[in-house]
Amino acid sequence: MNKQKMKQQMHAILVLQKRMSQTRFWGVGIFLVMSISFIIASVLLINQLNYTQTNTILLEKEIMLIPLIINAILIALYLSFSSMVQIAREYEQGTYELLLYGPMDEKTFLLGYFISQIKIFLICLLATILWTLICIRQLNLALQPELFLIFLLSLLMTTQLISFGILFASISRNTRTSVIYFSLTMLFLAGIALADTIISRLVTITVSTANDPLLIVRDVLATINSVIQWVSPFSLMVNAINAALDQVWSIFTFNSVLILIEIILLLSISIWTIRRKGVRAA
Amino acid sequence: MKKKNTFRWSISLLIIILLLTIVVQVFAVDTDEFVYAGNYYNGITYSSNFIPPKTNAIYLLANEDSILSARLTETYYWPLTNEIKASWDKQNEPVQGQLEILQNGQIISVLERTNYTIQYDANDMFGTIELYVGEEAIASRIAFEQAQLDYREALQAYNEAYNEYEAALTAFMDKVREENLTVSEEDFPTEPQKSEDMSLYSTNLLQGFLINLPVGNYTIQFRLPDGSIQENSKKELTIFEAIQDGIGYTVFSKDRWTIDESNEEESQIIYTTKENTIFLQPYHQKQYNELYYLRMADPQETSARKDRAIWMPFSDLTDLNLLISNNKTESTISETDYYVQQTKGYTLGYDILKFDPETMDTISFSAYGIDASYAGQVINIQATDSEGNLLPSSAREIRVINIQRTWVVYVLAVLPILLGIVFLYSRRKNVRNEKIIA
Repeated sequence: MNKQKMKQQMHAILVLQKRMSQTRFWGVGIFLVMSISFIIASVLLINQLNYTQTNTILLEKEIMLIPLIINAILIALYLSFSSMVQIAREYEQGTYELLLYGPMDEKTFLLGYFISQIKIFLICLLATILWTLICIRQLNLALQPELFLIFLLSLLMTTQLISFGILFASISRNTRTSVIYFSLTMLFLAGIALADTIISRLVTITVSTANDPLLIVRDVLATINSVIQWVSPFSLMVNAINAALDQVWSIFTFNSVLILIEIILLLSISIWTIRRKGVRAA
Repeated sequence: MKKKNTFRWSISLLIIILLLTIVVQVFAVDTDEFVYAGNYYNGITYSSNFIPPKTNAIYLLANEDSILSARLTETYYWPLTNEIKASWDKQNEPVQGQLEILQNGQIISVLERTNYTIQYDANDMFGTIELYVGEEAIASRIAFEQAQLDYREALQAYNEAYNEYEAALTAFMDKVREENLTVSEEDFPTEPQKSEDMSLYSTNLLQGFLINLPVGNYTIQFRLPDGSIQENSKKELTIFEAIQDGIGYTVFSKDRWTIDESNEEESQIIYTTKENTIFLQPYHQKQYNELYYLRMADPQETSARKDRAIWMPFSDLTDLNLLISNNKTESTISETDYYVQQTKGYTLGYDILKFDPETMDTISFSAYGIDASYAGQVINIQATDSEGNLLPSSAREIRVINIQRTWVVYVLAVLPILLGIVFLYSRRKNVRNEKIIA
């Protein structure tokens, strides 16, 4: 009986994820986002190469790092936003309630959405890998083994971000509210990490004096970041990438495992929330 | 009404106290304070530092001799750098007592004051610097003073001999002129030879506590002769070691030879453009925890972070060869001396030429020159010692980028949207066909 039920659930998940991913590829949105993210990544990459031409020398561990991170973050944000909006709309339009009359429960509903977004990202990732390899070949850049770890980590970061989106949709069950809270949370998480990176580089050892006012800003940002770095998908990914580039495998593994744990946790909370709140929109 | 007045008085009193505190802080009167002063080993040489009373952490390198001395001095606040400074010239009084080292709350060592001196040869400071302790310090200082005395005597003897030589030379020249003599070179008085300048330097015979501990976290405190613990003497002592050793390169190119960059790790690729020459200068380096290392040098430093590492360059590496492998060829190059020749006229410019001692006066720089000739070139380098053994952590990769192919990147970037439009068009066409059939 359980086996039969599991089979039905699996079938429902596959049907839902197929429907959702097909819908995404029938639209032009994902292609537009891919192109925009590639164009931004290209501008960043070419900027580094132009710098090399002007300066005659560029010393870099992974020249593709920043373009690839920006590319992954843009696609991941689009996918997490769209999955969140779709789930919230299912609530608002009452289609979620209808789905539950069929062989579908809360878990299959969310996992169907979740897997469809991962599938779309994997296709985007394939395109990104192709774009990267062609760039490396054409421009004579170094193909470092760590590059494939960056791809893996971008997949983990996207998965975590999608889980965040699903959680926000499950909690608010309203498109507008979930978009506002999700945007604010992401801005906060990314903003703190970005500001910490910029300020910590601005306040360098050689030029700063002890009474530099930026030191206080840096310390405050560092303190906040020291807490949110264990939650933020961006910080976890960047920490793991830096560890991979520095070949500190313990930190790399720790951050990667932490992302996986948080994905499971976020999805579990989403399923629990959606069960607890029922089928009606907020 | 009465309550209101009391409140006003309280606020006024608070403001006065605050203002007084600020005035006292800004125009702080010099005070006698217990401080530690250190002569620490930084991995290559000895430097001195000062640990003010309010600084609670001291950092030192593991398994290396360093000195801490306990002193009474006047301290003052220096607002320009926001630091506490010591007026050593006003007061510099050693404090009698013992330095106790604790670990996990237990005293593991009690140190007695000892004599020490630091000496080095100015011709090779980093290779010869030495810390002498105890009896050896006294002997070294005596030997230094004797060497100074000998040098002074030798210098005096030389000056006297030179004066005699000058007098003899004047007399000889007068004689030659008066008697119209024909003289050869051997007839001239012999010029005295000056002895070599003294290059040995030494600090005075100083007193302090010798610290040489393995990696770990400790606490130090200063016990006075009456058995009490000196106020402000308890400090956290962190003993650390290098994270790793390595070979770094100073990298610069022919077109910007005065602007160099440091290549510290093997994974750092050196990108350049075609028809360029890259110059490499290898050096020995060590990686440390940023906070520990920088606070060791300056205990009041505030910008370093514990979660970051820092590479510190030490000695230049000479007598090496660079093994260069291209796609098919492999060759070895050695260090070459270069001369930078400025372009004649008002137009700025220069040429970098191999140094020729017969036509050029001084060497501008010595480096390993590598030609990056064509776009797409990949050059692998690795340092070898004089016996041809490959040196670990010295491998690097130089890549000549294909800057003229950047358009490919943009073309690839717009492909997804074109693909999307094709999909959309195809989908709409299918839907239209289905409607017609229906």
